Amino acid sequence: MSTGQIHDLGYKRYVGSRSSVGTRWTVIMRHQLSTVWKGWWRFKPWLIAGLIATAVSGGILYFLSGTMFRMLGGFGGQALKFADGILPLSMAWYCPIGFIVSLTICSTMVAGDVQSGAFTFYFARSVRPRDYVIGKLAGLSVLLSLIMLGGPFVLAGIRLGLSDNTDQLITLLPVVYKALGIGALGTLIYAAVPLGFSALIANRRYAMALWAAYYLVLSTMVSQIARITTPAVGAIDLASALKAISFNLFDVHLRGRDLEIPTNAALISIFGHAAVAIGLVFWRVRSAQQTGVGGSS
Amino acid sequence: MSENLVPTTLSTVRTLAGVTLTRLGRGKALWIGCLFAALPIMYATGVHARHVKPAPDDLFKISLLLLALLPAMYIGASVGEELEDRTSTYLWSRPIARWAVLAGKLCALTPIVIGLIVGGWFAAIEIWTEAAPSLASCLALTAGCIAASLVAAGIATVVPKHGMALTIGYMLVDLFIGALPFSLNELSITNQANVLANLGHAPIEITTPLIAMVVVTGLWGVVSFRRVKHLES
Amino acid sequence: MSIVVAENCSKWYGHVLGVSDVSWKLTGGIVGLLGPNGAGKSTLIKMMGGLLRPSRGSLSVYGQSPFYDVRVRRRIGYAPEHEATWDELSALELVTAMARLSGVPAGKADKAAKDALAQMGMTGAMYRRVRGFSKGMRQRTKLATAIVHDPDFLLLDEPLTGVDPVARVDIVERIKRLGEAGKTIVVSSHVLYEIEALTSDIVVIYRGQVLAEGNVYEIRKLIDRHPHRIRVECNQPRAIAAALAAEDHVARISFERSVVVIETRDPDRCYDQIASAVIAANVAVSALSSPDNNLGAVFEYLTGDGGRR
Repeated sequence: MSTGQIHDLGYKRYVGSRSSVGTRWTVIMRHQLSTVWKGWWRFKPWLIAGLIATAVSGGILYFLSGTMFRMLGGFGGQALKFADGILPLSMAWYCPIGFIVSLTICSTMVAGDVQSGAFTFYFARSVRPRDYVIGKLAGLSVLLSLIMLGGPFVLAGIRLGLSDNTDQLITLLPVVYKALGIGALGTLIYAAVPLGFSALIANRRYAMALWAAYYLVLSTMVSQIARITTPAVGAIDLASALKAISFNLFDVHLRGRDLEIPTNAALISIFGHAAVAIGLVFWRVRSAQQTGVGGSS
Repeated sequence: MSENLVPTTLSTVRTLAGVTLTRLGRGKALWIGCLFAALPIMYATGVHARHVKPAPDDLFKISLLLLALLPAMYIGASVGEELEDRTSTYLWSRPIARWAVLAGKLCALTPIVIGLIVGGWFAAIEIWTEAAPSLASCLALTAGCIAASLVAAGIATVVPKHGMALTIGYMLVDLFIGALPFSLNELSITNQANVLANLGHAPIEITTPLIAMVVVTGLWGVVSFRRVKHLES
Repeated sequence: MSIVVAENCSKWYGHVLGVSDVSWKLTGGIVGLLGPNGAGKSTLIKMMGGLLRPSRGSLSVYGQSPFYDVRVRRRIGYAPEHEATWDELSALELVTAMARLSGVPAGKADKAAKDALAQMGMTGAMYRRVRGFSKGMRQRTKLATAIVHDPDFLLLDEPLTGVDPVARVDIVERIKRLGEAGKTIVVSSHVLYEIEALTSDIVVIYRGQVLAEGNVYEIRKLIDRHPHRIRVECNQPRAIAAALAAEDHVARISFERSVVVIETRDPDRCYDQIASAVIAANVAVSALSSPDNNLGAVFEYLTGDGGRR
């Protein structure tokens, strides 16, 4: 009979307490954040662009606070307190920045995991599909919110800080909630929707191209179609929908501006896009879990 | 050792172009590009069916957006992936000039980009206006495609990992600069293409946008070819 | 004439030192390039292949810089370590393209590719796309791309990684045949017994420096810290021990059941004396071996000691 020996190599199996399965998504979220923060081109320059946009908008707010004037003749009609209009107008800066972040990070996320075989690592452990989806969404939301929510929030704070008196400050408090609401919607758009595209096709390059084509080209077509049909159709253009909500929330109306998209249509479009996108991610992740797919052999 | 010689530059460019086209044909990129190129055609078909008065400017804007997308998707991704996936090691160890590798890819992919964008524009205008687009607009788009292709190549050699995304970002900034109401817009490739297209059919001065386009294109060309010469893997 | 001449050659990746002040000459034959992970083997191979240029010093192949001189790369065949290739192409298309890019005329490239693939045992799969290949098939295809233009100098970076045991034996045999055909081959590998099967000439790289080079048995003799162990299995181990105990070259003698293990600093003399003792005492020897006179032991002694002799 052969004999056996066990050698103590100094390694001991972990016998302590283990965190509950429900916290797996936080691990995925933290991993997401640390991965994206590495390197230079993925996130940092766009965060700096967001900071610059916030600084410029805040500077304009500061210099123009308390000034009432009419808009240039071509837009005509309604005098508005320009300082109050800065926040919704600033979305014209945050949306492109959010789009580029969504391009470099979000739109390749799931496709990249499929291509690299990361799912085999996830599902060899006690990670459920919903942990993956929630973790990824949470991580991307944290990143996008630094730009889409942080910027408007800072501007809202500056607007409050420039109040003439306490009564005006109290009157202006809803600005904060509106800024947070717009920021949250912007975060949802640029985190969830490109994630859905990245789940649609298991190739990073094509997923990115599809998202870019949908956001840039199809949306432009939709906006132009909306001009000849009904403005509500323009809500399919997510950037226009977000801007419409921000303009409507702050009661800013510029004649001659693009489409007057109804708030309801814009909200339905945003939430509808997000729901479909999250559904697609779930579908992709469940398929990967069931087929054991991942990477090259 | 056999008596085979070092390949000529033309042979190298032809071989690489052939390989690039073969790989393109066997992947999905071509079909996805055709889908994107069909978008203005679908739009033109839809509005023509509603008997909407033709607005070539609107359609040209869509073509300019494709200019922001397709060169990035083909050239930016192809060059970037070659460097990032290190398949370029097979090429750098061959007795070929490195710039010929880039030239081969550009020779293969730029005509594809031109065909898709200009072809889509041509078909869309034909459907919407029931007449062919002007030669100036087609040439302007062609020049824009060449310029955007070199931009994509340049960015991909500088940042291979994010070549495609950064090229799209660059072209978006280009679109924004092109919309500015002062002379800075002359640095924008899309604005140069727009001016050269002369959709208003009014007499225009083409020297400045033409020179600007050549300069911008040339600069990015120099960046890409110089970068590829010194790349290590 | 030296094929490769490296003079004070160093390579940095930012702050990380890949190769440090290497001065080395390669004259020919099959040479095994060994070293722990991160030692600098791939860096050195890439510099020889023209993919990297030295940060300092020089490295020439056939008298020219392979990074800058296009013509010298005509004589080099390189099979990289990584698996990525143009997966959309078939093996034949890939190797044909490589042949054309190496200067093989268009009319002959197809035949050269078929010959190279046949040499690597890939005739049956040459029309299949590389995407569907196993690791072994990819490795063979990579090797085919390296030899298709009949180069004089082959650089094979980990050619056996991920290959199944049967394919390993086959690939090793094919590499040996290339060496016998007169090609100079540098093979980098972690699999020591396969390097042993290929060649006894090695270069050991450690922390970016050439730690040892030459014939593995000659190198072994130079490792004074670890005297040679000679293991004699016989019916009178103590008789052998008694005959050698007084010798100055003997560092230690130990016993296992019917085995005497002698540690000596002069193995040649020790073998002679063991033979004399066996004859004089009429000892029946059933086995005689040197457990650490091999590449694995040499590698372990060299790198395990942190590069000290």
